[in-house]
Amino acid sequence: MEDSQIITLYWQRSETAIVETQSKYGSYCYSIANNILNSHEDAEESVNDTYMAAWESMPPHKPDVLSAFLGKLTRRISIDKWRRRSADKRGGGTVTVALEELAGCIPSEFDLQKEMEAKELAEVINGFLDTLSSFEKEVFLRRYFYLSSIDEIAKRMRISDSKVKSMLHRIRNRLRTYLEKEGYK
Amino acid sequence: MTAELLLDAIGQIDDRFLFVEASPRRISLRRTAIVFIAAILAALLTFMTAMAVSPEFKEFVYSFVNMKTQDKPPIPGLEEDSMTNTQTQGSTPVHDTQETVSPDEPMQELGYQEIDGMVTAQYFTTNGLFRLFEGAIYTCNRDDEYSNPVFWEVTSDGLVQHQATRVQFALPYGGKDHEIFFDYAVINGRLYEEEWPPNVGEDPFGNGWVCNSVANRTDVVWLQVPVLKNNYDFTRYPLLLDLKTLEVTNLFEDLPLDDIYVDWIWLSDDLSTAFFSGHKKVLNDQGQMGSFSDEWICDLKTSTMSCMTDVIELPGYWSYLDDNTLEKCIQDPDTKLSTLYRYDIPSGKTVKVFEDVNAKYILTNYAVVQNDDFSYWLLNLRTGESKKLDGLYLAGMTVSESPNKQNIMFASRWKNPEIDQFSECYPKIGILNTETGAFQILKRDVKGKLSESFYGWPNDTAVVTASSNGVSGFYIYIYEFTALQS
Repeated sequence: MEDSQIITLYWQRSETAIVETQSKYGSYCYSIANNILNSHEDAEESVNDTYMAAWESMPPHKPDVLSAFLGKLTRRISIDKWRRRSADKRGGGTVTVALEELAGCIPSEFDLQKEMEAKELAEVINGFLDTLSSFEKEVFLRRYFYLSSIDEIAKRMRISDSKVKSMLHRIRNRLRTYLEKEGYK
Repeated sequence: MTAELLLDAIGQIDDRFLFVEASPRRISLRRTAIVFIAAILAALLTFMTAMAVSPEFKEFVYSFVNMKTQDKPPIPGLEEDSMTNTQTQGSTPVHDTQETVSPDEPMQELGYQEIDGMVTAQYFTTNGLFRLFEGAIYTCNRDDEYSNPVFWEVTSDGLVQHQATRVQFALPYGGKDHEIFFDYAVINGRLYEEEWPPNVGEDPFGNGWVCNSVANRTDVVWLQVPVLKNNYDFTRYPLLLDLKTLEVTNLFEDLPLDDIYVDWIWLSDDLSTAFFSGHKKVLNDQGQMGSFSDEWICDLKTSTMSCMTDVIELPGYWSYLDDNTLEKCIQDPDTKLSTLYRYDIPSGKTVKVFEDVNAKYILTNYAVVQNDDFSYWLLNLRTGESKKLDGLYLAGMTVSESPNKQNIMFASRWKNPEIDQFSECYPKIGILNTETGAFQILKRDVKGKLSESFYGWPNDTAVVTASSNGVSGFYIYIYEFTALQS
């Protein structure tokens, strides 16, 4: 079924919308959730929460790109769940490692008082992504949007683990420089 | 904390950067062997007279004709204006319009008009659930029983009601009872079927059984049924269901599917050929069990099948175009230029249809191509001839081909954030007859809190859109471009 038809079903308040979403994007959402949570049960719960969130937001929302809309919802819900789950016992998992890696991108004199809202920072990152080649962009997004493991990225991109690591290292350095150039010193 | 902010910010990047990859790319488990075989195949591969089209941008032009009269369809939320609007200057109302809509009627006609002698427009409303087929619309009530199932035959004189037959029974297959539930009707010798609600939750992707009609047959349908093959892996089988006896026959019964798990199936009209995507469970070099996706083409008469990777090694996935053709489009991630391959099932040969073309839409016989000067051209995939789509602004358009592949619809989508940032509708619907070159565009006055979708072709010269504001049911608009009929 076309995305526009699925969105129309949401607007019709037809529960079939969720069925069709599950059919078309269930595995996609699950893979994002499972990357973040590394738990089948938690990932399934996140995906169900995603469907519920989609149901509650359409209408009035009408996403331009349904897959991106669902991917972002799943990612946000899963990270929130990861944060709750990790409140007592911090550490472990792809998200923790990704956070440690990203910490290296934050300019050392980054002033917390001047922290932008995530949305504004996202605009800066959009600009940064436009400076990357398609291949670099895909590696970066697999790691930091989809939270895939190094091993999985290597397999999917058909390059070695060490190549992924070195590429990510270089991209992070460039991101750090880019953020500094944008005024985050 | 700052890293978490960065992590959150990355979660809000532009949609354009994101991609969907539901199933993993096939990993080259037999890489050495495959590379070797692929090299031989590449050398031996006989690309049938590959057009390898480099579009010749000659000044052959499709010029469109704008109709003078603007269509003003009924719009949810503006009912008080809608029916007076249908009787626009230049139009000829044929049916009286109704002032009120009964909630008990599954489908009601709201109006009909002829526009400039080129288009007939029919307007309907329904409070039920609906689906569109080529030639018919299905509706049922929005209740727990999905009661009152009806197939509406689309004719130039309105909709003709055909009460549906409901099939409901438990099908024991693969160690489980599948609750089969669908409606069907035979209209003009063709069987239409619809399962509402779709079945869910059987396999890991939430997919249940699916019902499909069989071309030129009114005595059977085929069910695509998920079955647990081992303790935790599903496969699918195509089961031919006799509508009188409710007995099933597994069309994959004799295929050698031992270590192959079927994900999705396509069958040819005559049921002689099957194409399916699936995965194979094998041990990798490290002794770990891996799952590798691929596609297979099957001759059901001889119960033989070929893995498409063994036919030709190319990145990406094959898709089923029609009974004789598979296709694969590969886009260069940097240049965004596309290369299209088609596989001819009867001959087993692969054709490189075009290479490195800036194709915006790829249809069966044509591709819409953007030239360096940003003009749009229609590229004939059979002859290589290109014609300019003169003055057509394609950004945000919906492009669709008619069932006979001869006519192409170009419908511009429009949003008006001043009224409602979520409103979207089709202010222009154009249809091009590729054989005659006739290209007619209907302008429409569609403003308001409207969510409109394109629903397809009830016949080769008619298109359907439907709109809703989310609260007052659905409005269905059928536009028949009568002047394009040959």
